[in-house]
Amino acid sequence: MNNEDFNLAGKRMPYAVPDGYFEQAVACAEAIGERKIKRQRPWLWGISIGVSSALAAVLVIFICNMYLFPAPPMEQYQNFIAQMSEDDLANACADVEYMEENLYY
Amino acid sequence: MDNNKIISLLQQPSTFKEGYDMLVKSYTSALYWNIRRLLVVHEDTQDVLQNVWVKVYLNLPDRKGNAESLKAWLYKIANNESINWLKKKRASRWDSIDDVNEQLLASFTEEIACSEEEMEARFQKALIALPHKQKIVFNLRYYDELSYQQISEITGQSVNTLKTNYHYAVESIKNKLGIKNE
Repeated sequence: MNNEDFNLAGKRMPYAVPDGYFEQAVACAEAIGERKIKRQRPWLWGISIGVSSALAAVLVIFICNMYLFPAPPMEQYQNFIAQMSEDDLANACADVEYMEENLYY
Repeated sequence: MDNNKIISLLQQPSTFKEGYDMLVKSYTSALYWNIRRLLVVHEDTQDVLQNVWVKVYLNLPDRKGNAESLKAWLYKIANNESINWLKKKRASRWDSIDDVNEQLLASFTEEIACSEEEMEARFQKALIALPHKQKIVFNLRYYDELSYQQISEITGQSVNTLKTNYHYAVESIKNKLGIKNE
C-alpha cells in the first residue's frame, strides 16, 4: 500500500444512502423556507403566561372579597359604641393613647 | 457552485427564497457527507441535516460576510450541530466526546455497504477512531477541500494548530492502514 491508495480509498464512501434520498432532502430543506418559521422564544411565552395568571388570580381574589365579605355599614359601629359603658369607652380611649405613645415616643 | 450569485439573490427580499433554494441544491449533498462521516448512521445524519437547514434559514437574514465565508459558515453550523448530537450520545455529561467513538465504530459495522476488510471500510474505521479535533480538521481538509483559513473560521483554532492536527490525523490513518511514508 502506498500514498496513492490513501488518496483513492479515503474518497470512496463505504456507506449506503437510500435511493432518491438527496432529492427528498432538497425538497424538505426547501419546504423549510416555504413554512416561514418564526424565531421561537418558549421562555418568553412561559413568563407571559405566568405573569398573566398571577394578575388574573389577584383580580379574582379582590373581587370575591368585595362581594362575599362586604364591610359592615357605619350604623353598626355607631350602635356598638352607643351600647358601650362609660368605663369601656374610657378603656378603649386609653388603649388608643397608649398605642400612639408607643408609636411616636 | 456560484456563491456570488447566491449571495446577491439572498440580499434582496424578493429573490431571497430563490437564493435559499439555490443554496440548498448546491450544499445538501456536501453537508450530508460531512455530517455522515462524523455521525456514521444515516437516520442521525438526516435529522441533523434538517436541523442545519432550519438554522441556516433562520440566520441567513442576519448573516454578514462575503461569498467566500458562506461555505465556511454552512460547515460551521453543520459541525456544531453534529457535535451537539454526539454530546447527547455520551453516557454522562462528564464524558469526553471522544468516548462516543466506540459506539460509532459499532454502528459503522451495521451501516457499511461493503466488507469490513475492503480498503475504504478500513479507512473509515481509522477515521472514526480519531479524536474529534483531528477528525473534524481531516474531514474539512481532505474531503471538503477547505483552506486552513476557512477551517480556522469554522473551528476557531489557529492555522498552525489545524496543520498539526491534520498531520497527526494523516499519520494515524496511515499507520492503521499500514501505509509507509515515502
